[in-house]
Amino acid sequence: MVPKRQVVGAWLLLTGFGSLWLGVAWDGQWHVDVGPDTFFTAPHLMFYFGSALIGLTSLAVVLPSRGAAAGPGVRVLGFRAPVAFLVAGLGAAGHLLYGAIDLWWHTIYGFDILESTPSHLSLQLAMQVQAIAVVMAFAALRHTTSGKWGLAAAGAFGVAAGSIMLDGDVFGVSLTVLGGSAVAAWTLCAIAGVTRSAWWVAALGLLFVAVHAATFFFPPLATGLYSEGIGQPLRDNALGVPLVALAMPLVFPLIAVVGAVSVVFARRRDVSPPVVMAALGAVIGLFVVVSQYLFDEVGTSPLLAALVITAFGAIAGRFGWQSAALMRRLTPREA
Amino acid sequence: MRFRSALGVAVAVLLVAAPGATAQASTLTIVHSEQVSLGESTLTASFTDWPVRAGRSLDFTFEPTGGIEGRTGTVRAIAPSGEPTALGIVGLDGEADMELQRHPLARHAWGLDVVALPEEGLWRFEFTVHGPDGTSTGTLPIAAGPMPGPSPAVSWVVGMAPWAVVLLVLARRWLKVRRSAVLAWSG
Repeated sequence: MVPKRQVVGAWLLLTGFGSLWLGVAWDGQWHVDVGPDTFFTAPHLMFYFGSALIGLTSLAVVLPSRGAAAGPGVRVLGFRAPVAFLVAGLGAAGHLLYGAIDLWWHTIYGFDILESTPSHLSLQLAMQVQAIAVVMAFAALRHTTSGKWGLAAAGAFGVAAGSIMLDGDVFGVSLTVLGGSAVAAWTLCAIAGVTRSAWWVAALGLLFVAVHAATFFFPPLATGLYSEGIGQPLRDNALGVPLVALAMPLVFPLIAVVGAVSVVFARRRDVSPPVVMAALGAVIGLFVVVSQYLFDEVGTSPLLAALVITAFGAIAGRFGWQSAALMRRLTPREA
Repeated sequence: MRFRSALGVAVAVLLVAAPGATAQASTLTIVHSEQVSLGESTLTASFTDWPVRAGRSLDFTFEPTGGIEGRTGTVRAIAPSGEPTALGIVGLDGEADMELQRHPLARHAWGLDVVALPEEGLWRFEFTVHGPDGTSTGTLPIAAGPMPGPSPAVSWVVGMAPWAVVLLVLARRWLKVRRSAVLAWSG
């Protein structure tokens, strides 16, 4: 049995991440459509609340975890910390710490949020670490149906966050698309590996649609209401289009269906999972490149981008399965 | 009991945070202005930070004599290297000729909010303004001084160092446990 504290904790992590993700999307929308920024804007409070909830939940789970009753864990300073909550806590602490560094950075360089800075990149990475931690927390609950729904939801948020994790181009290859597709491949293959089921891979696609819809509708709506509420009008050229949602891979639900079919096929033929997942990861990379090429841009060298992103997808898919094999040990039953 | 204390904390947080979240951002503090001749007329360019330094963001406002009412226009920012550069949120669409629009905090004037000039050297802002008295153009030279703070290389190395440590620790643990993972379907 997974201790009750860790079950409640997993759902609190998911709630925190939902607040973090939608807060970040709202903040982006606010900057683009309205502009003026202080530390205490509502979108900032929303995403810092999310990170704080993740951090405090992790503390509340890790601190009382001692002895065998806590289940599998890492020994840290006399505690037997469940890995997912250790990772979540470090991710949230990193997020808040880099948030403080970001504030200091802005006092030297001003508040240009479009700049690519070490603190901005680190905030994105810390958010991704938290997403992975939520996936891990639900991987430990994989024996219950609710736990598997939580896993699929955590994966959907992780794929969403991955789509804005990196910024910029290297050798004409868009790092945004590269990071997004690698995270998508890792997540899908990790969920296939944890659940060993085609249905839950399809459920990941289904919940991604829900997260995508929330990211599409919530930020412009909240921005409009908030701007009216505090009497700060929209910009003259406010786009009103949900920019963060547009960066998310529209093609992902289709990818999830392809993933589910591959799982059925490979199980029936007993094809080695690492091979299937590498192939699936490559297909995911290629899908994302092609779809982003149609909608937007993949960088100035599309052919090189296709090659590199497909290769990274393959590696990420293979790595996802291997991660899943280890995450399956997070449940006490198999420890 | 636990629920009550959690509720208490939540209410306290709301009470502390609400005034900040419902307050409007403060108004601009202009510290310097320049006059740009715009055909027969002039345009006043104002800055919230002066002298301008590369990589440090500030707010610009632009106000033609007679006000912005009934006038439209564009501004093209030419970097010291000669490249036209789209700046900030206004330049998000990548158009070199940025549509002049009201500054969010000084809506009587056009402006660019929280924008950094990425390159050190002499920038040129070329204005084209259409008004009741026809189309006029003007150029504003802006010298951007050296970037403040440590060099970007140092910032990146120091800022990313914790991630490098994380990566090393993870890689070590990963190599230890990786071989014990069962990779077959029935693991």
